[in-house]
Amino acid sequence: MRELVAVVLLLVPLLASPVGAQGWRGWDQLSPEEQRRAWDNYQRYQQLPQQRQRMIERRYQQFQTMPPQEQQRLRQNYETYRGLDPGARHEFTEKYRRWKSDRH
Amino acid sequence: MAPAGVHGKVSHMRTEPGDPALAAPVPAEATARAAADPDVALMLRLQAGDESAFQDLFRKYAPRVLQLARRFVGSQAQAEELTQDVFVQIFRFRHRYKPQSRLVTWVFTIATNLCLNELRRPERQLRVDLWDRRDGEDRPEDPPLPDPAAVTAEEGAATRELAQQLEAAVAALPPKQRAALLLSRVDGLAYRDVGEAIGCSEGAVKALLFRATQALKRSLRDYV
Amino acid sequence: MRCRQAQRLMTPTVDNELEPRQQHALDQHLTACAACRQELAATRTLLEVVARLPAEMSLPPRLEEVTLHRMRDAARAERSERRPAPWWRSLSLPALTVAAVAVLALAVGLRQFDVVSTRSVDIPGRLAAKSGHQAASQHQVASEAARTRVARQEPRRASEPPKYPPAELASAPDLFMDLPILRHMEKLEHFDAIRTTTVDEAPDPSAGQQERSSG
Repeated sequence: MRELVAVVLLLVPLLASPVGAQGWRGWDQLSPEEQRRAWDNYQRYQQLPQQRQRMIERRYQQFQTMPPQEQQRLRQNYETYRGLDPGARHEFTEKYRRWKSDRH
Repeated sequence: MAPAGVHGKVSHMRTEPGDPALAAPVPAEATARAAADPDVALMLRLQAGDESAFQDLFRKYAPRVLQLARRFVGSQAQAEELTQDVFVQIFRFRHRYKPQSRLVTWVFTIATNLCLNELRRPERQLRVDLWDRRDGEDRPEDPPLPDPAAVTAEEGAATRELAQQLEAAVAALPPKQRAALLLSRVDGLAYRDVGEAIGCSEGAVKALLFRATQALKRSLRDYV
Repeated sequence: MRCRQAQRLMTPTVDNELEPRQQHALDQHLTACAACRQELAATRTLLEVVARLPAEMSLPPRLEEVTLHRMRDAARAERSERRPAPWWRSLSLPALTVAAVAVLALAVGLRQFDVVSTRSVDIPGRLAAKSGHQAASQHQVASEAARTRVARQEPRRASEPPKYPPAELASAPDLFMDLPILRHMEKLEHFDAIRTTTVDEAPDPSAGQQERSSG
């Protein structure tokens, strides 16, 4: 039993993953769950037409240069958007189309 | 450590064994393109970890990127910082570059994207003031290039005045019209490449250019 | 072709970007319309002046140095994330605990195997070999049991990320983590404004630019 506790205590500190100094995290700094999510999304991204891939890359460049609070605001909005039920999501899409046509 | 078929000194950027960037050999097609196009060779060297390739890339394109950036942001210092951002992004995205694409289009896509984005964030902390200016000071603009076709001093002065008025009129254009005009007319990109840089169709580029030229004609009625 | 349509084609024709069909139609209009010929001349002059704007700016002395420094920082950050993680970093704490238990069980099992092997020296010939073989089999079964216990704790997933991701993924993993946000970025940036938009009236189909929707 004592040996088991010793082994566990030795292994626990090695599970910590430090975050990059500038807020940008490399592959090795992602948690296993984050790596799976990134990998799944990467495979989805590969299926997109090239033009759509480039659009996403442009948006990534924009997103990266946003202040942290702005990035957080978008993340929070995404969580809200994800939580909309189908009816609310449909209504939001209609409003988005109207907003877009008013803008241009 | 450079892949077979790519010539270039590899310096400073150390690579780890099993580095995925070096794991795959350069395809024969890419090597053939590198032989025909120095820009492709440059990017392949950069992807292989050659730091001097980054310096060559910077020296080749930074003067143009800086000029483009200056026409989008309010100060020389911001333009210089934006130029740094562009090349850091080029480095980070280097593995996305495909030899089938024109490097100049790819560079200007990144540059235009960051310029247009910058206009949404006028308040920005500068990392380094390269000129060690005090607050409020700005580096004097480069004088417009003299017109080589000017015969007399009066004609040269008139051309300079026109150039200044033109710069002001271009600066007053909406961002995407400005980008379309500068990329096609000053940087010489084809409409298809301008569309790629701005993120719109060729038809949309034509529409942007139409509106831009109409606006410039109105602004420069007395000169053109 | 009407004059308004011809005017829209003037910049592309100066830039040699018109399709042959459109070029032909424009040429035909210009032969008949003096006003448009004049407009084309003005457009050509304007675009020639625009083309003479400086395309380059001289670089300040330190810009290259500062940019190189930032590039090296980015390269260092990449190298630190490319260094392969030890295999046990990919295991979760419960799996590690079970693995530790398995290791201890193995250690205990091996000690017993040593005892059995020592005893078998006194038994002649085949019997010695058979009991040694039995002990080895018991050891194999114990290891197999341990592996099965570990496997049951960690159910297999459909697509495990690779240890060495492709360069495109490794160079910008946050792009792929945030992919859903990037796909819906415009909506998310103007979320509140969109939510307060009313959809009572039908949109004006003649309004707007020809730009493709960026979705």
